[in-house]
Amino acid sequence: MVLTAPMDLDTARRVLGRLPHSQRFPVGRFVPPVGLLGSFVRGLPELQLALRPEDRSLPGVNMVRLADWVETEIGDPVLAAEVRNTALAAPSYVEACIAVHGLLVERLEAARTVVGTEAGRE
Amino acid sequence: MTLYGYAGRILRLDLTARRALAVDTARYRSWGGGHGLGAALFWDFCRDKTITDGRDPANVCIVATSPLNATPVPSAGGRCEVLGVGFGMYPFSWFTRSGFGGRFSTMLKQAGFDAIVIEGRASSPVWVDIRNRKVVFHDADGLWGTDTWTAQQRIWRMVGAPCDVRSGWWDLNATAEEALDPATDQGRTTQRPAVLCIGPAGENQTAAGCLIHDAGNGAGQGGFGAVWGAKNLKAISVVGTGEIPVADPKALLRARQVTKDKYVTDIRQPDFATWAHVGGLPTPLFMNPPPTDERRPQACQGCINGCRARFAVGYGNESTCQETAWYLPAVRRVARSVQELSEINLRAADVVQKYGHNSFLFQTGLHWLEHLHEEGLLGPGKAIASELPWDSYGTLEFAEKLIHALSHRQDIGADLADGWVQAAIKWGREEDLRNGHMQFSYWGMPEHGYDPRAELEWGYGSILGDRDINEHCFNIIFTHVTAAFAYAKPMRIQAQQLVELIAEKLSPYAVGRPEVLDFGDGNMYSEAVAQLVRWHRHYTRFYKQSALFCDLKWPDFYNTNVPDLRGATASDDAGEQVFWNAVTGDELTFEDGIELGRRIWNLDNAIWTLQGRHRDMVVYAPYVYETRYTKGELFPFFMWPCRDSSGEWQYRDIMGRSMDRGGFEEFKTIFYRLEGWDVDSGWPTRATLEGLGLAEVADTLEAAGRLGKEAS
Repeated sequence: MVLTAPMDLDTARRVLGRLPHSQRFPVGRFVPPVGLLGSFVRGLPELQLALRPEDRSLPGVNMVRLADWVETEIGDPVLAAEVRNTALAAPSYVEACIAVHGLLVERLEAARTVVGTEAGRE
Repeated sequence: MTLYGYAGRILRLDLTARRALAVDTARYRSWGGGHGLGAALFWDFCRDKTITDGRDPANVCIVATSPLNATPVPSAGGRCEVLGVGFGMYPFSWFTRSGFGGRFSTMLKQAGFDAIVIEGRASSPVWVDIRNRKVVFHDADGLWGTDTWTAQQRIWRMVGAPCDVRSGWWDLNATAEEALDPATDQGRTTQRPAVLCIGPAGENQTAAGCLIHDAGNGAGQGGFGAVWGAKNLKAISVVGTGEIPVADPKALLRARQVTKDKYVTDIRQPDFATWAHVGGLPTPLFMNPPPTDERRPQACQGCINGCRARFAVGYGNESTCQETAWYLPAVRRVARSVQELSEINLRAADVVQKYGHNSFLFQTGLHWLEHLHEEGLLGPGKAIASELPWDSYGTLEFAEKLIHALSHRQDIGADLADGWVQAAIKWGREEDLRNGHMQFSYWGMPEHGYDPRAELEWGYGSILGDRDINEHCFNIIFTHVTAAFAYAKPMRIQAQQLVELIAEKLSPYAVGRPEVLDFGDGNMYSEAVAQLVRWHRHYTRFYKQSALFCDLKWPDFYNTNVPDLRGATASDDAGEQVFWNAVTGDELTFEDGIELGRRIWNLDNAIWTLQGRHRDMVVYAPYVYETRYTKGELFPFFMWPCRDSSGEWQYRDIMGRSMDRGGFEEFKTIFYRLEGWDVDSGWPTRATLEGLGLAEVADTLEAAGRLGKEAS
């Protein structure tokens, strides 16, 4: 699998890092009956929490834009390609969210291993 | 003559004179209860209805119950309505409402009162102790300055109530003036008093001040905490041991049993994908991962849902809905695990409960503050000076300091305390209401999560009324359809069948007219949608805010537990009017309830008119017109039944559009005409008011020079 390929230190730092406010990515949450709650994330660790599976709400993410953001703002074309492919292949939006969440868990773990810190917050 | 469903008396609290008086409920019987009762009381007892700042001593705040409170009507027994002129709205604070659940309304009725009318202003802080019909004013020296939880615990101790069942019975018959009837066994209880109180946010008269009852019931919108703070009223404690007469107990229990057997999902074979309202499974309303599976549900009196939770970990207890999510996006900045995310978030929920601070303002407001900080406009030494530790944004420490500052009018709280839009103007940030950084859509209140550019009935209802409506009657359509779409599950009900089922219940304005539910681009400003909004305003004014059926469970338009898919609403076996009649002995039809709601809605509009409202003020924040509801940012789609160009019904995505100014103006004209209001001003006309038995209201408007002109 592509994500198991070696990751260089610079990429690992970008994967674990936090972008400036101006490069934030919008994410919502579908929370019946409160509604569609808006927010944004500034990095992949936050995105992982935003995409966490829950039984009472759903994450709100535009998968196409997410893949672009991962590629251009985070600077991880490998993960971006996987997000694109995974979202396209998923039979439903919810399953796409779950699969992308899995990708993020895997990618963040790999980055932490490369950087050599558990928290990844330097 | 027995007033079935009522306690029979209304309590007037004159805070200026520290005097309690009683009024017979019979005089107000025609208004039903809750909002209707409260609006009528406000009309009679508020002598200056031109005030637009709820902190004015002339303001009158009403806490009103319904005949259904203290009965086993499903999801109606525990609600309570609060009314009066609010604080912190923009451009004016209207006569408005809020509500809360729990056991206060039950206790109040069991003590012998259907409502409390709070008048005047105490010269120093007080709290009020009600034990059955005995009412005592106390100095609040030891309570003022405490948080809402501490205040309630101190009151429980001061009144000598048993704080848990093991402490034994509390015998109010022991004191003659507290006894209801010493000859009966009606004087004993194991219950603590129900206390409604304010915290620091209310004491310091901030727009975010709430009324809090028990751990997590709150009347949040409207700034009623500030109203109480201005009146120097810290708390009202009530314990009652009486009973409420029910006209036809057998009919009441029969309708409840029908609800259980016919409409509600069988808990032994639960349908997790039910499309229903009252018929759905009990819905926990905490909006983040539970910190532990060791929890139990907690419900308002008589409710079949139990939307709150008490957790074994001891935090986040009884908080529901938005307050359990207000800090969530911020916590993601610092949390290293889902467990940590949950703990900080729920402890932050406890913080707002204890300060009595309305967390709803943060729904879009917190992003705006963060944006100002990140853009270098807010912070130490910045144009908007703030010494809060913004670098620790997302931590519990920051949440506590933020809420403390906002509740004490400190730091940025000094400006935000009078209203968030007012603060934006003071800070020179009006452009943020134009570009959408600050999404406060109507009357200085934040967008709810159902954008007015998509969810039309929500936006129209809010701007044509007095506040964010927070009424989930129709948006359950969006919830069911969008969720099914997201999971790629087959639709439980196809679009045409769904709208036809709902339209069966929209009597009298839109029965058999499914097009009223078409929120497509070509139908946004139509007479059809105006009829839907009318029905919604009138239904909720009576059934939800006066009869006090809970918003979470009613109305039940469609129901996949029932073979013909028809929900309980308006039905002959378990409709809203069936429960009302069983309790009160009335012979109310469903349409009678809608008509009573219209009467109440018109009285509300008469009060807004006296306060200074004109149709020119009835406009959204500029961003609603000038920006699009960005497609895909919050969620990839917002699904709703719409007709296509050939008239066929489909579920379609309605995200991505803006509101047209001219279109909305046309809509207002249609709506005012249908309501019988002056289309130029939006003011009620004499013919409309007299038709509703409100000639005296018309006289008052005419004397004030604010009676609408009749249509030619």
